[in-house]
Amino acid sequence: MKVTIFGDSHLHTLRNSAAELGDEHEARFLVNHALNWIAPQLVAEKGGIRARADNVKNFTPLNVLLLPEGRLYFSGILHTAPYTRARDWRSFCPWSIQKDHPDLQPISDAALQTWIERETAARLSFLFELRSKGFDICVIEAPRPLERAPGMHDIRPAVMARVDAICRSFILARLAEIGVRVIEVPPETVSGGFTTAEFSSGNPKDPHHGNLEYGRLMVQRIRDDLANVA
Amino acid sequence: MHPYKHFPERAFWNRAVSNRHVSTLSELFDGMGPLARAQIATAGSCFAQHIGRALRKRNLGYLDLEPAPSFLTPDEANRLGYELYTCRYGNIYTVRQLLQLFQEAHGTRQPLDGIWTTKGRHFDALRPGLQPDGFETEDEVRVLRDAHLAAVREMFARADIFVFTLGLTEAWESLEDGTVYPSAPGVIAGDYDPKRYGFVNFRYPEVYRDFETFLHLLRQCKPGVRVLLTVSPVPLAATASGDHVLVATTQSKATLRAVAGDLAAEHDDVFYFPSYEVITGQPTRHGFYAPDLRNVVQAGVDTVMQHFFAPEPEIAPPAPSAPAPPDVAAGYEYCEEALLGKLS
Repeated sequence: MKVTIFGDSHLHTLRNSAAELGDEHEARFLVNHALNWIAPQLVAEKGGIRARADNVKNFTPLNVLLLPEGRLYFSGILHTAPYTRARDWRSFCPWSIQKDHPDLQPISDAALQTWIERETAARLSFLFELRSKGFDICVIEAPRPLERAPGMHDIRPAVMARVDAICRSFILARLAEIGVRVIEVPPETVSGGFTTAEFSSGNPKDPHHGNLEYGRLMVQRIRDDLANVA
Repeated sequence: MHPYKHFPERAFWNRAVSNRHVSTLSELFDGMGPLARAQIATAGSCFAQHIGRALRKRNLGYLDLEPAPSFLTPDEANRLGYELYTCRYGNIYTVRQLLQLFQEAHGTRQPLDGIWTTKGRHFDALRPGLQPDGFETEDEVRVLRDAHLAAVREMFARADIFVFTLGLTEAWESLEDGTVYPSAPGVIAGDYDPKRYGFVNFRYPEVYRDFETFLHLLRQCKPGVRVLLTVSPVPLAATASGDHVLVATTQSKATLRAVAGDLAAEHDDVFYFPSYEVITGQPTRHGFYAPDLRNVVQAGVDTVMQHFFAPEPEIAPPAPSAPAPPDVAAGYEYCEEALLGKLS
């Protein structure tokens, strides 16, 4: 089967293990900057959709043709770092954990969801467009925040974990509404809401990417998906 | 010789009003002492939102004790009740509501019926417009209300100047414990049950007494606090009094205007700012109202604020920005009372 795996930088670690998808699948990786996947310009072309964006200075513009062949996997909408690392979390927290953080101002789930809704609207629309054009499209979840991320951003771990959980839950619900399946993170990579050091990028300045082992596990989940939902 | 001989120009209608264009009216407000360096809090009916915005724009000491997270756009923040007033209490239309808020914040009052549920969503009955779609759980309402009340306590302890806009005399109250709501049950949330809720139209003695009680409590929290009263020029969206809404509006505004004036006359630390007169007075020929004759246009708001800052010319006006699109209802999009006008 033709397999197109496209999206943001989380795909770099998956590409290294592409061979594990097996000989029966012909895999193609289309990786570009996450900012170019937020709201690309879409043009119908040759029975497919061409996606174009040039939002990042000194970076190769996005210019790819997506065809409704085989199965497609998109990484780029379940990347929660923009939400979990906001400076606001130094003075705010989700209401549900405020009892443990009485010095932080509680915010309602709806306030957080208002932000996520705005940020993900174009990507949801993009995925909906692909679905309505007959694409067999799935979403790949990005790794949970790395254990070192709260310290790097001066945000309490419990706050970051809760924000991450709210974001993912909300986006997952929206994806379910438009009928898009999700390949979730391998559970063995997560502890206490964070990606463990064992599966985290080796770069100590990197707060959100998985390592090659993480990528290998994710590719195995894609392989299983290809086998189970043929 | 007659007693008016040495009175200033502003004492004479002919010289102060008839022969002047509305834009040249002057000396409407004597000020209330220095605004600079004062910590200022605002509350009240929706017109008070404009005063808060004007203070922010001039970088005065406006207290924002429940600030919005930066990830919300200004419109989103306003829709969720942020940045409208010093705290997220929404519109406080009646003095009884203000008094009860103070008492609840200080633990001397606990509303028996403080959460309304509609279609599975939960609303803070004391600020039902806070989150248009309500909350998922009652716990969420309680946690956010507790944090809100802490902010309200801080406000009353810190504010050097408390600005309050008197909005309505009509309200709906719980027949169980007298809790007064900003919005009738069933309009935004909840369900109207005549056995549980009753209509009340506060009369002059009650409004005056409630404010005196509030003032006494406020001074205990913050000795030396100054209070600035205004009366909202926005007519009632609907009345439950049985009178014509125009008659009911006049009754209500006259009561509030008289209370405000008498409180200012009685107390050295209470001041009255005549925004009501600027908007409703004859000089404007009602030109500061939108076509619905209820909402106030931006030009009216700007004129009000010019008079507000006139006694302190050293306070610089805000830097000019790009011209905004015409706004025929500046600020009133967050007015729960206006929803009454949409009822059928």
